[in-house]
Amino acid sequence: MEVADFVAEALAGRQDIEPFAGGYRHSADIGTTTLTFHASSGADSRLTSIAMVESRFTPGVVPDFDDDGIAWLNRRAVFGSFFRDAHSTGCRATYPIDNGFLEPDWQARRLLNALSDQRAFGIAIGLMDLSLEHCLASRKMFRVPRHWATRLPSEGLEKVAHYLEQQFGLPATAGPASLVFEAPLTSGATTRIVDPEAETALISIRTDVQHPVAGVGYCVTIMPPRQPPSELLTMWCTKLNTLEHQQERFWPRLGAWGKRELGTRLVYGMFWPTDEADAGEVRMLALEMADRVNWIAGDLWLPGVGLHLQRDTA
Amino acid sequence: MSDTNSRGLVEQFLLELRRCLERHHASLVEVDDDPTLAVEPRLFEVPEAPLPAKLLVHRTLRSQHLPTPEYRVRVVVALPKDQQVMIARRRQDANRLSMLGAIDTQGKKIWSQALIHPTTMPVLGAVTATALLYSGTFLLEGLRQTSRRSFRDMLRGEFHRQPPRRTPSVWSDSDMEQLHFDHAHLLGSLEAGIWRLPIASGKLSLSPVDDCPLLGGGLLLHLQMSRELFIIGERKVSADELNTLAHYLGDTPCFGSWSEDAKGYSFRCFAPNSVGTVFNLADHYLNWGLQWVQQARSLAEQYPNLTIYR
Repeated sequence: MEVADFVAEALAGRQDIEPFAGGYRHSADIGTTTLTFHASSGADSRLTSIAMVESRFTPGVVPDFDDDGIAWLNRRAVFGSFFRDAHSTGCRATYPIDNGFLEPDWQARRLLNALSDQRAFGIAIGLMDLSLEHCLASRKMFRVPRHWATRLPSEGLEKVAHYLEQQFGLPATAGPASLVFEAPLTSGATTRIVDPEAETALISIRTDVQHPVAGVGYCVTIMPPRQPPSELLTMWCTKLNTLEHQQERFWPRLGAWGKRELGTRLVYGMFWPTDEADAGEVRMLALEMADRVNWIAGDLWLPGVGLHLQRDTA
Repeated sequence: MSDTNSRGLVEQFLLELRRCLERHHASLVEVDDDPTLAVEPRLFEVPEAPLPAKLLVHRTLRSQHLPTPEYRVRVVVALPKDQQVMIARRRQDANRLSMLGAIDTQGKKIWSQALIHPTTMPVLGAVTATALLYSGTFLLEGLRQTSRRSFRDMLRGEFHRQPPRRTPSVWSDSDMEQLHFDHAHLLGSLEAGIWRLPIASGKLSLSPVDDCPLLGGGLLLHLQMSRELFIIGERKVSADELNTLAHYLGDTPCFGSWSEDAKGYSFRCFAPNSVGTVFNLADHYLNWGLQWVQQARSLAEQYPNLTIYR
């Protein structure tokens, strides 16, 4: 069975799900979520299709965020990045479907989780920034796990750190609940601990950071060594999220480039809600983040300057 | 931002401040209110404040010749004359306990200041109102309680029978978890409701507290930095110098005080429960703390001729 088959089996008989050619739709007063499968270009034979889970919120359900607001909202994105267009505000996650790399039923479960929770989490996150009252209400809205059912073994993160150092030469440090490592944005850059000027992105994967709405899970961040000028931060958040979703052969796009520290800093953040920790998943997340940095380094990073549009258009 | 916009920003701030003062049944009265002047500085008083409190709003010197004016708001609260000798004698304690503003070098006033910025308007209004109303009495009550504590502990142990009144902080564990999530990229930690961030030369923490003198519960920003950081060349910068620099030249809002102890230097800044309704206030305090980490030493380096304040 392939991923689409597992999805079809799980959704068969669900009265609230409307199947249509190439996907499924779940509608409610507050918005609509669709799961669609798109054919890949065929350039990569292992990539069978691309799945997208997209929620669009009914106008008025969340505030009418401008681009700055969306960039700020994206610091807490779960199951994809927030966006706005002429039609509405929403949230979008993209998954490459590769039947040879990951177990199809595992991939299907991830899609079904997003189909189930993306819209509700998105709306709750959107309302949190409205006022203190909305914030308190959103935090209480979901009965999500607040404690890990299965914790990582004590040496789990150390093994991943060792793997990153041995296989890829990436300096990594493991703590009881965190894995921190650096990935180069320019050739030859190693670590900012030795060379403060080294252009490396600081990546963290943590199990001790709860999402305000989604509870326990993996909290992942990427912090670039240089920040764009403050007036370009929002533009970069929008552009990076758009470019990520346009990639064909790429990791699942479940996180977002967003603004943090009261809107003064661009950081990639991804939160994967789960209460069952697995060292294999941490390793996969680490590789995904290192690859994401590699993509930035190749397409969008100018040494000594930082994020640069010319690299994108060249 | 044009001159007109900047003036609008000042008016907006004053409106916000008046709103906040009203919640404490206090008002803001402009002194020498002469509309023909229409120039800075503008001076205000708060008649209902327990100690004489003045508010000064002025254009910064560095923006006098720039097309975009920049405005600074300063709070000055006069300390009672009969307490000034005691404050001078207990200067270290006073600096440590003055968490809504810094004591001037002569021990006569408490200062606090901030640049007016559109993004900090609600928090600035609320914190300025608190400083105008409570910074002086907060310090005096803190000094009174600590002296009583040590005296009674030593002589009669009476303090243990009459502990200070506790008011739970309005900053809950959930609030701290949210802060922890939003700043996960900084690699801080959250334990027992206290958020801690190791920094190159010390640590920064944000903690809900429930027993601050006079005001009870609230949120405390504590920045601790090593002694070595403030030895510049042959010169050791004093906490009083840091307070003076922070007050006169700091770009970061300063509603707290630098002090010195055995561990090095500390900057403490307290937000009482009464400002807990301001959205994202903890984020602003954390942001100010991070800015002080970067600015404190560079200010001391940049202005080495403040030795008169030592």
